[in-house]
Amino acid sequence: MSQQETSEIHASFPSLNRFSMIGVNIKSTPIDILEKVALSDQEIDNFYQLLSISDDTHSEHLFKDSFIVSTCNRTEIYCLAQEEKNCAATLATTLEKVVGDHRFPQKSHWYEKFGTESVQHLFRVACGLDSMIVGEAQITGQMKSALARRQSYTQMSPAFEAITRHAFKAAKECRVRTDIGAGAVSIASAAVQLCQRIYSDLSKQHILVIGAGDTGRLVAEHFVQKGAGKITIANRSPERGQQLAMQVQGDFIPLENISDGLKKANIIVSTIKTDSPIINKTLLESCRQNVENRPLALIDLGLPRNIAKDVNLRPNTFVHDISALGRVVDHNLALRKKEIPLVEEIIQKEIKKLKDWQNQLNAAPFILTLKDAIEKIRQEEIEKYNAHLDKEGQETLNEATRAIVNKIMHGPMVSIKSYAKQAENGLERLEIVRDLFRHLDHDPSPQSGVQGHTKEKSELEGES
Amino acid sequence: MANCTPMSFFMDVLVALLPLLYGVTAINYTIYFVRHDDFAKRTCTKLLVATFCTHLCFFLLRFGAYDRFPMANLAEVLSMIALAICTIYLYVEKIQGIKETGCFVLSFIVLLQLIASGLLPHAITPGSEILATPLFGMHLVFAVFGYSGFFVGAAYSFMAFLLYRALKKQNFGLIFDRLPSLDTLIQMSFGAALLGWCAFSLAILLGMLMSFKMGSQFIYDPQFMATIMIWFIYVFTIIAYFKLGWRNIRAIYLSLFGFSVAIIAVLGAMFIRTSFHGFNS
Repeated sequence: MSQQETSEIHASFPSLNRFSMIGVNIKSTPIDILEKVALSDQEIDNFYQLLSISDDTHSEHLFKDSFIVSTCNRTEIYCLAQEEKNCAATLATTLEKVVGDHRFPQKSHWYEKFGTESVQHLFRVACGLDSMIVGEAQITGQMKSALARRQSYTQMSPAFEAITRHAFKAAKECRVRTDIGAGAVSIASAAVQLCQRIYSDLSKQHILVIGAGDTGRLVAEHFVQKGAGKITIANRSPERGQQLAMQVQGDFIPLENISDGLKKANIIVSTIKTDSPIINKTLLESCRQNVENRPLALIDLGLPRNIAKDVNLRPNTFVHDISALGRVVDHNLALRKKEIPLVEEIIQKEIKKLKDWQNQLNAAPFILTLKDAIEKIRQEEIEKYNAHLDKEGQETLNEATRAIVNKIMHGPMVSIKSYAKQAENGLERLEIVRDLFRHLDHDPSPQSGVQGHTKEKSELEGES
Repeated sequence: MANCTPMSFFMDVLVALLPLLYGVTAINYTIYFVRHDDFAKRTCTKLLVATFCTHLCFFLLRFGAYDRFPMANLAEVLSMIALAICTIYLYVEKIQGIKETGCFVLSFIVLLQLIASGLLPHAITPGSEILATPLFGMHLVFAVFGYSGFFVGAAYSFMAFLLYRALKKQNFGLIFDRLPSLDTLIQMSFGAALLGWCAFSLAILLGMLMSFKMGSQFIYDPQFMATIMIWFIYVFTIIAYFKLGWRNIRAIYLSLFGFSVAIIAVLGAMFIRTSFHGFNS
């Protein structure tokens, strides 16, 4: 974190109990309701505007900052309130104003979280734990885009910025340190993964995709993404086949000439609808007499199956059908789920770091203000007696009172510093110490005294 | 006797330490293989290099202490094989950048070093002048590196065979998840075998040169004949890889066959050892 950022936030970090959120996602809500509540960019702008300049006194005084994540799988609104209060109801009301009654879902579809739980939810979403497919990486990118949109509107509060930064840090660490995002979790990507278990470098391979329908296109695109060398599309309809071939920068052959493709390719993916298998052992043996030295991967995504069962009996030939790919996907998902405790651990560690930092930020200005307030009292008391004393007496009184104050305050100062390092209950303990010294706030001016200082920090935070 | 000196004490410590170091390294590689642990990934190669250096130091110390190549008895030869396998594995790992196979190779090294360390204190060294000859030492070192290369090649072929079976039977478990791809394993197997073949060829040349100098008749020596047979099998492996383009199950079988023949030949020759390859003469 830069020094400038630290000085901006050094005012004070709000308690996590000022955070709350509401949301709907694919797990909590049927898709037809979820798509109704998905917010367009314009609506998100309206929402931010409504929260900041609304005439509604509730919104105006309740929220300090907010952040919206709206994707095809979720719509979630996070907010930072002016005080420790669960603001979910107000958030829902504001959202209802934006989307209108007809699109606003029933209360039973919403979930709301408050305090640390809401922050924890944000971290879990960023790490992909709350996604429909555990560990999917797309959500992190979507959240980053949402954050950029939010920041383009007005500058985000340092507290919110810190929370999102820690959430993205946790997401990155999860990707690096765990296998939460490892393995293919869709049929098309599982097909590519299977081929990569045979050939590590797809750029040197010739891939034949039979069928230019949706599945064929999806598989071909996945191969292109993984840097496949040469792609040939074989299809019944030349128009569609040529179109896909052009899209993936490959060649096209008519389905009747499939044997030409079988001769050259070492990865074959078949995705067409056919009554009987189009590839069998006899056909392969006649086509591949001169290319027997390298393994051949055959992926059968057609239903009924496009590749005869006996093909797998050939040595160096690996046939995988849709059920095998389904098992790869299930296996990868199970592996990802095994990583969840590790990811949760990373999230907890990152939240602890956030809390530690929050406590330290809160303690530093408090210590300074407390020292100022006590010094002021000492000076006031000394002044009362200085008139009756000579210069030597004044110096003695000054030194004696300073020594007394230092000795008395040593213990509390050590405790404050120690509380500042405690993630667990540290902030609450600091608040107790703050209360203990609140009586020192005898000057109503916001520039002095413990409470005054707190007010000042709050104002500073409000400005940012 | 070197037994009473501080150097011999230090060597005794190393004898006990080596299996322990290899053991810890093998566990680290296994943790990485099973759990893809980040710490294990970062530390496994470093630990292996440290162990390798310790082992090398041990050999140099022993060479200095006894004034001969430290391969005069079974324990020393086993330890040298462990060191040679370790060297070849490190080379292949460095070239391919793949650490997942370490646990398989390392477990065998642990076994070898454990036996070697167990036997070393009681090992009887034959008193033969030939052991102090540099040419003979080089001949032995290259021979050991040759066989070790064949072993590492066979180990990779075995892993490739396991993956081949997993892919054929659609068994998507740990082997499918963690091992490198089939073509990489075949490539690693060939690389190690090629390295072994080069060392083996040098060992044969040095052996022939030595026997010419000594005026021995080596042509009918059973071990020499077995060696030449092994050499030709691996020549065929190289031709099959480069000329015939074998990158499939046949390449896997050929590597496993070559190593099996090598083992049988070595063991067979030990039974019918002639004076030519005996150290007691």
